[in-house]
Amino acid sequence: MHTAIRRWGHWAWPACGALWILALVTVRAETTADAPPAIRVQSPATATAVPAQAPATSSQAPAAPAKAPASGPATFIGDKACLDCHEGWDRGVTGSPHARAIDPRTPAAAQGCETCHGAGSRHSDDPTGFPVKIFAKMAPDAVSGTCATCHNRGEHALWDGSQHDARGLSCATCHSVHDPKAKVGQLKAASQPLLCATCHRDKVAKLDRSGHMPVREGKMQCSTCHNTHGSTTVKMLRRGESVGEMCASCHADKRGPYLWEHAPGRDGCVTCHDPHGSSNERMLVSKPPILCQRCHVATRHPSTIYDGALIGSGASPSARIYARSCVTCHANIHGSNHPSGQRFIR
Amino acid sequence: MRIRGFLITLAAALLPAGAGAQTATAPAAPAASAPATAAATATAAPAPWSGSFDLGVRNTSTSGDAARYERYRDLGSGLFLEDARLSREQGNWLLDLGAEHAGRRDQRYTGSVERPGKLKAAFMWDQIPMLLSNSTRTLFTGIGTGVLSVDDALQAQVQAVPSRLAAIFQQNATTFETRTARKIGEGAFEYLANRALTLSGHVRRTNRSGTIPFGGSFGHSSLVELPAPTDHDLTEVDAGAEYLRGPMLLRAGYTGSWFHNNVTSIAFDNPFLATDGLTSSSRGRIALAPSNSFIGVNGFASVKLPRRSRLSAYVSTGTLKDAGDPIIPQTINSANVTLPLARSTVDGEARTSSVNVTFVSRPSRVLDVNVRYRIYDYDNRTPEFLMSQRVAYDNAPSLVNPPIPTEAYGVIRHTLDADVRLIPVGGLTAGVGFTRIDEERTHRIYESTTDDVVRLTVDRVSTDWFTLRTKYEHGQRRGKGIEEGERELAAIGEQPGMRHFDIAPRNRDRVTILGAITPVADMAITASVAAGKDDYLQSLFGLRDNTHRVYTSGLDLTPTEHIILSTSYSFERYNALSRSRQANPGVQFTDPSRNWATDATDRVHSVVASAEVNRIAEKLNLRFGYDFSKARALYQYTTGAVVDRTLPEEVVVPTTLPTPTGLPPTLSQLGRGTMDATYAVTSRVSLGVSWWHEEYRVQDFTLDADANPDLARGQALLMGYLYRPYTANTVWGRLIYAW
Repeated sequence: MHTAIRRWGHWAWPACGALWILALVTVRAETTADAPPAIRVQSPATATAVPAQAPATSSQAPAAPAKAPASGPATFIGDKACLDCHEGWDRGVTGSPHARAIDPRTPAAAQGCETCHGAGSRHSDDPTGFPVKIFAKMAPDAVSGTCATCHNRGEHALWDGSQHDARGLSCATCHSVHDPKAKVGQLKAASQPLLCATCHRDKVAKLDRSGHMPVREGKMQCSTCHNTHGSTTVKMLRRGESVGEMCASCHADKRGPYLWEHAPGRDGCVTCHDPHGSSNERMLVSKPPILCQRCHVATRHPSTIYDGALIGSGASPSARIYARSCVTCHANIHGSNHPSGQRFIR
Repeated sequence: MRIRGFLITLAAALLPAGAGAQTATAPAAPAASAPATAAATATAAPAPWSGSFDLGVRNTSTSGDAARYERYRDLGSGLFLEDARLSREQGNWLLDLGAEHAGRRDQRYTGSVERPGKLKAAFMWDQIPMLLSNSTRTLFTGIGTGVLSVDDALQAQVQAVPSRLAAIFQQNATTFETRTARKIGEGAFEYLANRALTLSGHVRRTNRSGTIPFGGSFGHSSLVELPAPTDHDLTEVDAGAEYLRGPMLLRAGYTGSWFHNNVTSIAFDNPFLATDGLTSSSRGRIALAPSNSFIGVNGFASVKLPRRSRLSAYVSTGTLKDAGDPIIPQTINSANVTLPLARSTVDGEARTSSVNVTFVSRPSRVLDVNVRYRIYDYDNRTPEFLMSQRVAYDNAPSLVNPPIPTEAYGVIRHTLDADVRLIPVGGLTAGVGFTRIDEERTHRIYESTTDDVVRLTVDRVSTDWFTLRTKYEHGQRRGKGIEEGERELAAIGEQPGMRHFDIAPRNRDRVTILGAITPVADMAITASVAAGKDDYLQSLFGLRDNTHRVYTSGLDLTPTEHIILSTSYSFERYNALSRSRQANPGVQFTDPSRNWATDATDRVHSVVASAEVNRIAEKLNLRFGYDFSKARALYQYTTGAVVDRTLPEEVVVPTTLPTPTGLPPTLSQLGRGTMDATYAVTSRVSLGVSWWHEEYRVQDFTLDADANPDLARGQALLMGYLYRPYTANTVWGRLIYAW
């Protein structure tokens, strides 16, 4: 392994190893359990108040498939029978899109609870012997497979094989049917940034930087750019066929085609900008002129050291570092249609 | 005016005349839990009409940079309508209307009408302000137009006595707001023709207008910052049809996007000069963004196969075109005559095409296979334009011999992703994946690059109390054709050993570990570590390496049904080493004793915490929030060898450069505390109080006030868009009514 990795990772590897020992121990404990404990029915509000990857109940029951009935298949018994035992579990569903009986595609228009959880007659007779589908205890692809029996088009059509699917996330990782916290989308958190922060906390933290998209002001959200259910382009982007095309779908003033183009701007906005936010002006990944000097090492001013003696508060400030720095002259940095626009000055 | 507008808007919003459900939420608003509950209740309410509104009086006081506090929002004092919702369910139809921040600069109106299972139509009107500064100053008149003028007499005075610039600026500059605003109108529909066929359409028009700071200099010693006009429209049309029957999903789509810039060039006076001369100009002209269009079509087919497999294919093609506006003349300087242009229009055109084939299979419970192949082609067909004469800064023309051609950048990218995942026991998965990205580019220093990435993932995703996701990836990018690239670099005066880091050969190592522990159902603890390094191993100059380390942790707790506590902390560290050589043309260019480096390090601490206590005595909801972000950056110069990171290829010689003076560290710190309290007077009426306190502190050696003590300084005339600190308080008194 490279020495550099050892330098930054000298303690990360032991930590990783320790976590893995813990993981394997828990897997071992789970797979060797003698008998599943009885189902403990919880209040839905309590059970799903924990974020994304937490189980919806603390039940230890395995995700065993329903046993074949002794005589004929299980039959539907109706919501009332379900709620006789599972009191309160309809609270989050009532008023949600799933409960719109006027929509023929909803569970409410079909078999209610049993549309998703399966026919309940045998479960009603023997709750432990014939468990219905408990999504919190099912494998991720089984959860998503159930949801995808209806949610299989439009936004959700590309779920199979998407980055989130491939890492073992399921619909229930982010959505809650019984206890959603958001006004829309049945999300497990009050907003998309809060939800996505469960895993992508570093990206969400950037929204609080001085240079940021208007996400925290409520004018954009994670799904403005990303389709978390999968996409045909990179980075789960929602529009365009590349990062540049996605950015240009709103910033069409930057898409050209220009007479004179700035090479990284053609296909790599993120070479210079961090779309999640940065402490630099215009969400740049570093401060000009240092940013520009990462590629421009020509003679004279591009390769000059602009040190503390040349900054604005110094004795002899250089205009190449104060205020807008390089782009005070190279204003058309994304590209120019001026006949002499090679250096983006006009 | 504002109150009247507010009342008119409120009345309009309450009329059942629109439609629209907008999925976007406003997380930044002081959302008390009461309205959310009301909205949820409203949908289920049996009453013909249901809804809620949240309005009241607000007061904002700010010391410091009020513009930054309100950059993308309007928190001005006065009456406000934070949110209003109106819903009706009648027969088989649903109607939803909404208004947010009515009458304000950031107002949004939404509406939808839906016949579930058949038709959904929605509209939205949204405004996104971007207030950059309310204290910028300029000598220019004509702000917002394509012609910016300075009083001739003032120009003459500065030309006669350049040292008077500061005094003239102080006496004559006007203060103006630097802002832009996006106004977005949007409509969409989705029609289920039958159980298999869905038709959809979406139209969106965005107007952006205002001013932004822009450079309009006349040379290295005549720097000028302009309030450049922003006035353009973007119209987008999307239409699609989706057919789903049995295992087959088919989709066809159309995308049209037309960008029209109402101001494609700007002419501006030179504040330093009143009369045109052969070597200097009294006016300048600069090209702004060109109008353009993009038209594309796409198709998608996906079929479910046996053994839980799916094969999908996506194809798209599109054309990006310049609108045909004429190329502006070489100069606006009347004293100079220039050669005719090679042609009069840009004729910019690029064809894009993309193919994406995906195969996903889960043939058994223990095996996942995921293979994806992707081609993306950006074929830039803009004809070459020869620059045989250069006019820099509208000053003296100079012949360019041989003429320099434009370079239409294009790229063809082939990407193969293949992943295999094993699931030996419940919840435990181990995966190995490989990605190859082949890119062929035009007019770059590498003709082609190949990036091979191997990744290992081991996840423990289970249903009990412990989840762990780990990923390690190693990538190697290499390029071809650098010999010609080095010659081209030398020809334009760049160091041949420099590599553009976006395509440079690179070794990349990254590891991420994400864990979540749920010891009890009401508690969740998450933690993550991410670290990585990009090593540009062939870059003698330019970006040499960068590293990142990110640590995050979070705790979510719900001790009772009424109390929700959440806190998180993250630390990020980014470091980048860049190499250069300070040189004038001649012997210095090849003198290694003039090498230097920048070691840039960013450290960021972030804290997010919130506490909710709901239904105290069944009446009172309280919510507290605190966000804190402190970012420090340090740019350190090193001359000569870089200790412990010297390149093996580099010849280390003692430096002949003077010891650089250190740059002061930068600071960007934002703290925000919020408090919301709502008291349910009746089952329908709640009263609320909200308070926000926000503090921003900044130190920045290029953009803060210390670094820019005067806007007219020496041979520079700036506008004064700067980083300034602020302290702001906003208090809301609110009435929330739901029915």
